[in-house]
Amino acid sequence: MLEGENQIIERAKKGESQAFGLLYDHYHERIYRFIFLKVSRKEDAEDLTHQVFLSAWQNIKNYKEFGFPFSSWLYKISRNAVIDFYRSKKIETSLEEAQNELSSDEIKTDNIDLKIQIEKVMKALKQLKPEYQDIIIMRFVDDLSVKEVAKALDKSEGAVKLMQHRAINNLKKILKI
Amino acid sequence: MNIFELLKQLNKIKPNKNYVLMSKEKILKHKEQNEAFEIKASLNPSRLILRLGYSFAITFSAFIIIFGVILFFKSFTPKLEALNPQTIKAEADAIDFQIQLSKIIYNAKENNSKNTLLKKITATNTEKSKTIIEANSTETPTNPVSIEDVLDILSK
Repeated sequence: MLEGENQIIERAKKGESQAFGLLYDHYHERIYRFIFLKVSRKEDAEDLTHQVFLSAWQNIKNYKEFGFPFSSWLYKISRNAVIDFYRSKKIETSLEEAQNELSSDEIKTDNIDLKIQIEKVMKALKQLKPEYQDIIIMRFVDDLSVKEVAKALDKSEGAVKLMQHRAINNLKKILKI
Repeated sequence: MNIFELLKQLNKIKPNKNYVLMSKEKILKHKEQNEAFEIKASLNPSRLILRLGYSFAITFSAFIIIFGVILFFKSFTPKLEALNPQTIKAEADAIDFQIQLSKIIYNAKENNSKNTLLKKITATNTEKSKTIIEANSTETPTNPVSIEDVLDILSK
């Protein structure tokens, strides 16, 4: 959570673009990552991330503080954007095609072994149910709390814990770990 | 490396810096442009006329509704007057007043009867006193009648 986030949000609500700029700087990376892991293509991830922040900026007056961070709201918008993206484009690419599209070029590392392993994880992640993907990305990649994930997914904390357990087990099965 | 450590490595996915700068600039400008457009559009004369028309129409219809409501309630007021607490109180006061008048009449009658009784009593008294005086006049002056004797006679 960004320091003094509530005040920054209030300023952004009043139309202060500089305040929204701060929120953008803090959250754009993880939102981009979340979308990239869901849509697999860099260009689509960039377009969708742009749309998400534009939508957030246009609707920030409707955002209400319910005791969870701004990030949950952004993830919610991102999830809807991804669902709309698949719905509107009617992407009927096979799983294999989707996996082929996915590349670890975005990961800045010189360690080739690590890059191969990450690529493997990314491909395995794509084989999971969308909800399981969301939970794994939010919980273990972006380090969100169970409460934040629950708010973003409109589920109870207990349900998130259960789903997280199942998602990890499924991922382990796919990776044969 | 376990699965959690591998997942943590996905944290290294980062967007292109140029894209980030461009996107941010576009997003922040987009709202400013929209606001400027909205202000411009709100100052458009045709829009102003349209808004004025709307406001006049709303005011006129509100006036008609209020006027109608007033007329409607006015038509009910004579029937409702009977239920007015003030009129009820006035009526009650008037009833009390009539009762008092009747009492006055009764009292006056009572007074009349008392007066006649008193008159009768005084008449008998005068007659008695006359007889006493007459009796006194017939008696000799050497044997005067005392006041106590007179009172005894009167009491009889």
